Amino acid sequence: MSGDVSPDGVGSIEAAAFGRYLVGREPTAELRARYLEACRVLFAETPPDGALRLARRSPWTIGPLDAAAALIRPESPLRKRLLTMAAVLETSPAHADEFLPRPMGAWALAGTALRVAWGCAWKLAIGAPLLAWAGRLDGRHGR
Amino acid sequence: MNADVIVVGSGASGVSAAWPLVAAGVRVTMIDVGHTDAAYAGLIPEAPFEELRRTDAGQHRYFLGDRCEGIPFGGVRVGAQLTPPRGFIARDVARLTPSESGAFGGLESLAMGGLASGWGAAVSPFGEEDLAWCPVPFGEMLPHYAAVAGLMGVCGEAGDDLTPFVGDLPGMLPPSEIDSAGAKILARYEGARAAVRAAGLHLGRARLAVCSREHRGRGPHRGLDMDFWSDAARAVYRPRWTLEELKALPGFTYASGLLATGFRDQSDRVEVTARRIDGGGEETWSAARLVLAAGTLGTARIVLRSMGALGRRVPLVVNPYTYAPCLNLGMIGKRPVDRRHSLSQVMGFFEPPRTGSGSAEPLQVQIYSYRSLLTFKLMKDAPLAYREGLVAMRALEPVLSIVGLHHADSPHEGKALMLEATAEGDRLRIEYTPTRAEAAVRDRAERAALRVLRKVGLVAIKRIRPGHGASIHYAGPFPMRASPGALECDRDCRLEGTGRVHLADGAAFARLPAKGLTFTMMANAHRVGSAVAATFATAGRGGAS
Repeated sequence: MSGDVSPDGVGSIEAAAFGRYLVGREPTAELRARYLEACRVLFAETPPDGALRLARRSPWTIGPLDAAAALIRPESPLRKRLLTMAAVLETSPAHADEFLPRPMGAWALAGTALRVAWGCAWKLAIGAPLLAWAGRLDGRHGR
Repeated sequence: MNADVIVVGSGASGVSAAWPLVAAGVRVTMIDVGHTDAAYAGLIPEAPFEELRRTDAGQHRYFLGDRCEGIPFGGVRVGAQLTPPRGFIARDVARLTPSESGAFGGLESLAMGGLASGWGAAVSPFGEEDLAWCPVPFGEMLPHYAAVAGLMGVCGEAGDDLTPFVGDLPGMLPPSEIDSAGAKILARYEGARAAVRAAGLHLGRARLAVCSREHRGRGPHRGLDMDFWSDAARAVYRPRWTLEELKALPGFTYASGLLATGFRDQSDRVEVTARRIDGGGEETWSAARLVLAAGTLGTARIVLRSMGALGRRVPLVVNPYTYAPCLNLGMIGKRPVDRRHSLSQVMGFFEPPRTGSGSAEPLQVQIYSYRSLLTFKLMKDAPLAYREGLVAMRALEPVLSIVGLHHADSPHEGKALMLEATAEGDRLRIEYTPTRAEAAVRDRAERAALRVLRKVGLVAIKRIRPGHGASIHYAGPFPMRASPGALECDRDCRLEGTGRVHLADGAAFARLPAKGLTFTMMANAHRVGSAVAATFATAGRGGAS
């Protein structure tokens, strides 16, 4: 993770913020360490971009930036790290029930679809300009 | 001589060819690289998927892999279905057997058991029409289908709507348990059977190389839904099980750590050159006969190199494959049963309607349920913020069925492979460009199939083409002919221009119907092994020439 992988450093804060964003609660120290180790293996050669730096600095932007990147830059460092955290959480007994299938009836399914659409829409509205702005920061920093 | 017969490769065709040879008392040496999974197999408890997920603190090791190789990034690619415990299947391939394939996703294996170590286990024997090109009469194949089915253990429902397409195998085991999603599809099919059949779709319980009850000391399948990750009870067929049986028989030797690179066909023997993969140099082995079963691409490499055919183009065919995530409407509001297998639940064939520009061949349809490949992989491919993606995919998973569509393939000049010389050694170059007409016919057939599948409650969300080569059913380079020419085989799969070299894998098949090749390839390998064994019976240990 380009120099910030210490369990007590910015990497751990990132792990905590990503966990809160994905499942609404902070992962344990063990899972945060597992996430950091995965990042070390997967992204050692990938420096953080503007969107990831912004998400680290201001965790409230994670959702909007994620929604925008899902459509505009699905292979961005932020999306890759969020997916890594999702994988770490899913394969832990503590979070298994938050990832296992959840059967529901037709009305509940329709309600979920609406909730998902609304959640993505408002995040996208905020996230698209944020992502563009973060991209310009990258340009200014010569990336 | 090291043996009467050398078999190269321990995959589905290698063990099937070796079996009748060893049974006839012929001394067989099998040369193989033989990679195995030493990292993960011992970590996976034999417990149901949901129980593991809720209780096993070490599950991240095998679900994600020690090098995080189970977290996929990028687009859909061939071989993406290989989970970390199956990663050994493709180990060292890029280093030891390099290829240049552009958009074609060629997957090879140097593993013990070959590509079939991760096989989906669907069994669909070729019929008379499927083998119309072949100089071997269909009736001659039948006892070999029965023989390999006996080795493997094949389950299915005799006399169902699949029988006209795949026949009924003698000694078929009872069908495996079906999961809730598959049962709903078949219930809807039964309810509208006449109309669905009239529209060209025929469905039934998947015929699988799975021991639904104990068979040759394996099985029964325990319904753990862990088939992409482990081989619990050894219930799903892997060539390794037959290899273990072979090792216990007199006259069989397994020589691993060796990559066969070429052969020299002499008047009284055939010499095989092999490289020790631990860097120990090259060795020469000799036998009266050689059976090549290194996989279509591996065998092509060995043959082209040995026959001095560098730069020569030979045909390549592969079943084009598309899959479609579908909503299974019958599952809305239903809680799926936990006990299930992860393989194809429902198998089918779709006969596309005839059009003015000719008729397409039938498509094979395989229907899977999605669960044990984990939710985060679904989230990755959804254009949603991950938090919402998690909510959406958890809701969708119980109603999500994956429909796989396999097409037939025939050779033409745009589909070829060749071995070319490079500074680092030779390299296989694969070119695969279907014609526009082929692509259009397939597109129409897929659309028609997905329209008819709505009648059984399956509504396609989208179609995904994972790329040429995605079915991993390769064939075509050295086809069997009644009167073979250069780089072709005779009816016993003896390579023309050689006296002692036989091919036992997909390389000898000229074309592919819309059916998985593996089972028929195994039956043909058994036939080739039987034919070679017969030469020893008539000519003695010198090996007939």
